[in-house]
Amino acid sequence: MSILILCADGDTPDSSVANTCAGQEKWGEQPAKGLREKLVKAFGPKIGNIEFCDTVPQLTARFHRPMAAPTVLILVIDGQDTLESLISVRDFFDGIPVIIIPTFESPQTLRQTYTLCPRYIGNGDNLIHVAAVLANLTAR
Amino acid sequence: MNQILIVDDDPGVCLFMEEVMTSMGYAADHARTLKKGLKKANSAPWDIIFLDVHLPDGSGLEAVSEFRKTPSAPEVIILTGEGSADGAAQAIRSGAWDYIEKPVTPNTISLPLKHAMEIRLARKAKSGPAPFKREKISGDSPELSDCLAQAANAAGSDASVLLMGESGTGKELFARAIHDNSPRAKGPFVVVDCAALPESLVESVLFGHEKGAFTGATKSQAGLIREANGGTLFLDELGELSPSNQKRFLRVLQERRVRSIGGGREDAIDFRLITATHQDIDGMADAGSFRKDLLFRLRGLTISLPPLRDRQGDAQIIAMRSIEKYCTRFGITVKGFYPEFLEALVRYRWPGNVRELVAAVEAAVIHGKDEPLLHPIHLPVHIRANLAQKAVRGSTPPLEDPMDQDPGTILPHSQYMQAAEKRYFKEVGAAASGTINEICRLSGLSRAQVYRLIKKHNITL
Repeated sequence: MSILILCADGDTPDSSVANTCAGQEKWGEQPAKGLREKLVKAFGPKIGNIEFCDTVPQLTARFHRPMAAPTVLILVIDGQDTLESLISVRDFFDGIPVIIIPTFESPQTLRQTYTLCPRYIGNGDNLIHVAAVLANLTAR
Repeated sequence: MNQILIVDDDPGVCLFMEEVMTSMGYAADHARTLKKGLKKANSAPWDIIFLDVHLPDGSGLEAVSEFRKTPSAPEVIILTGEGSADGAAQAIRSGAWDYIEKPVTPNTISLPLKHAMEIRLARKAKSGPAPFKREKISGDSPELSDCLAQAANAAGSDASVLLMGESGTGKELFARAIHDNSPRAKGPFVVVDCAALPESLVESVLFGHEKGAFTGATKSQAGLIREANGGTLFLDELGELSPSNQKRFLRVLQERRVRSIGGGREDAIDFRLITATHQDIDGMADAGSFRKDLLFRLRGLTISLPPLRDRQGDAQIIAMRSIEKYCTRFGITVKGFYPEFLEALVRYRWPGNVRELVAAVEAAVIHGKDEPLLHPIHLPVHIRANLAQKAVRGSTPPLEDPMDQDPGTILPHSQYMQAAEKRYFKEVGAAASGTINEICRLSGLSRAQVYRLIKKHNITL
C-alpha cells in the first residue's frame, strides 16, 4: 500500500507570493506550512509508503515511472492555479482514488475541485477524518 | 412493419407462431435450422428472433451472440423445453432478452414480445444523430454495446439511474459518460463514495452542516447534494448508506430540498441522481437492510454492467489500449505481444474485471520493459499461477472461491459477502436439484431475484 501526496511547502516564497498576487485566494487559517509533517504523523504509522511531490510537474513526472499499487492520491491544493494545472493532467489519476485537502477558502474554486472526482475533500486542520477515509480506501 | 424471425425445427411451432405474430401486426418468417436462421438473420433487418434451444445442427443457446451480432442486432428470445431450469438460466446468461417455456401459447408469447419490441423501438427512436461519447469505456462486445445503448438512452432523460455490476466493471465511467452526454454536462459531476466515507461523516458530507453544529464543525459546509445543484450527483456503493441516511436522503428526493445539520433553512436543489452498487440491492431491500421506497426512487432506469469475462473480445481491446497507454507514459517503444499473451488474457477470468486487467497490463509493461514483445511470463504471478492450475486440472482451481482461503485470512467485507452469496446459491441449487421453483421456495427469493443471482455468480444449476 502506498500513498502519493502533492503538498507544496508553505514556506516556499514563490507559492505564497503567487497566491497573494493572484488576489483571488488566500491561505486558510492553517497554512500549508507544517501540513507535510502533520500528514506523515497522521498516516505514517498505518501506511507503508508515503511519497511527496512538491509541484504538479513533479507529480506528473512521477506518473511516468511505475508505482506500487494500490495507491491513493492526496492533493493539497493551494489555489486556482494549482487546481487548473491538476485538471489539465487528470488523465494520470484514472482509477486512482483522490482525496483533496484545500488550503484556500474560495467557494468557486472549491466547486471546481469536483472536476477531479475526489472521494473526499478534507480539512488540513483536522486530519482525523482524512485518515478514516484513507483507511477505508486502502482496505478495499 | 416490425419483423420477427422464428428459428425452430418444429413446423407446427413455426406455423403457430407465425399466425400469432401476424395477428399481432408483425411480419414473420421462419427457418428450421441454425444455419438457415443465421443466413436469414444476416440478410434482412429483424427486430426479434425466437430461437429454439434444440436445433438439428446445433444449440440455439450457443448461437445467441451470433444472432445478436447480425446487422440489425435483433433481440433474441429463447424457446426452452418445459421446466428446463438449466436452459432458462443459460438463456439469460447467453445474452438473450428472455426465455419462453414450451409449449408456447399466445399468452406466453405476447407479453415478452411486446416488452422487447417496445424497448427496441424506444432505443431506435433515441438513436438520433448525436453519437454517445463513451470517453474511456473500451470494447465492442454486444454485451457492452447493449449497456452503451441503455446509457445513451439514460443520458437523454433526467431519470434516476441505478448502475449494477461487480467491482471494476466501470460503473463510475458509465455514470460519468451519462452525465457528459446529458443536458447537465456543463454542470458539476459530484461523486459520493459511500464506502469510503465513515458512517459518522456521511451525513455532514452529504447534507452539509452549519458552523458549530457538532464538535469539530469549525466552519459551515454546503454538502455534496448542494454542490451537485444543476449537475449530477453520483452515489457510489449505495448499499453502504445507513438506514438513517437512507431515510434522510429519501426525503431530499421526495421534496427536492435539503437542510444542513444544525441549519433551520431549507434550500431547493436540482440535481440528477445516478447510483451504483456491486451488492444485491434487491436482496438487501427484501431483507430489510435497504429501504424499498428509496430503491423505487433510485431505479428509474437500471443498467447491469457485465463482468469482463462475459464481454467477448473486450479483454484484448482493453489490453492493447492499455499497452499503448503505459508504454507511452513510461517513455518506451510501444510493445507488441506474443499470441500466448492475448490467449492468457482471454483464459483468465478477471474477478477484478477491467480494473484488474489494466493493472495486470501495467505490471506486464513494467516487467517486460526490456523486451520487444510481451509474453505471459510478464503477467503478475497470481494470474500465471491461476492459469497454470487451470491448465493442469482442466477445471476451475479450488481457490477461486475466496472463502477457501487459509483460516485466519481476513477478506474484504465485499469480497467475503460475494463469495458467501455464491456458495449459498450453489448449496441451495444442489438442495433443490436445480429446480428454480424449489430454489425460490427454499431461499424465499422471487424468481427474478434467483435468475439475477444465478447470472451474477455465473452458477450452473
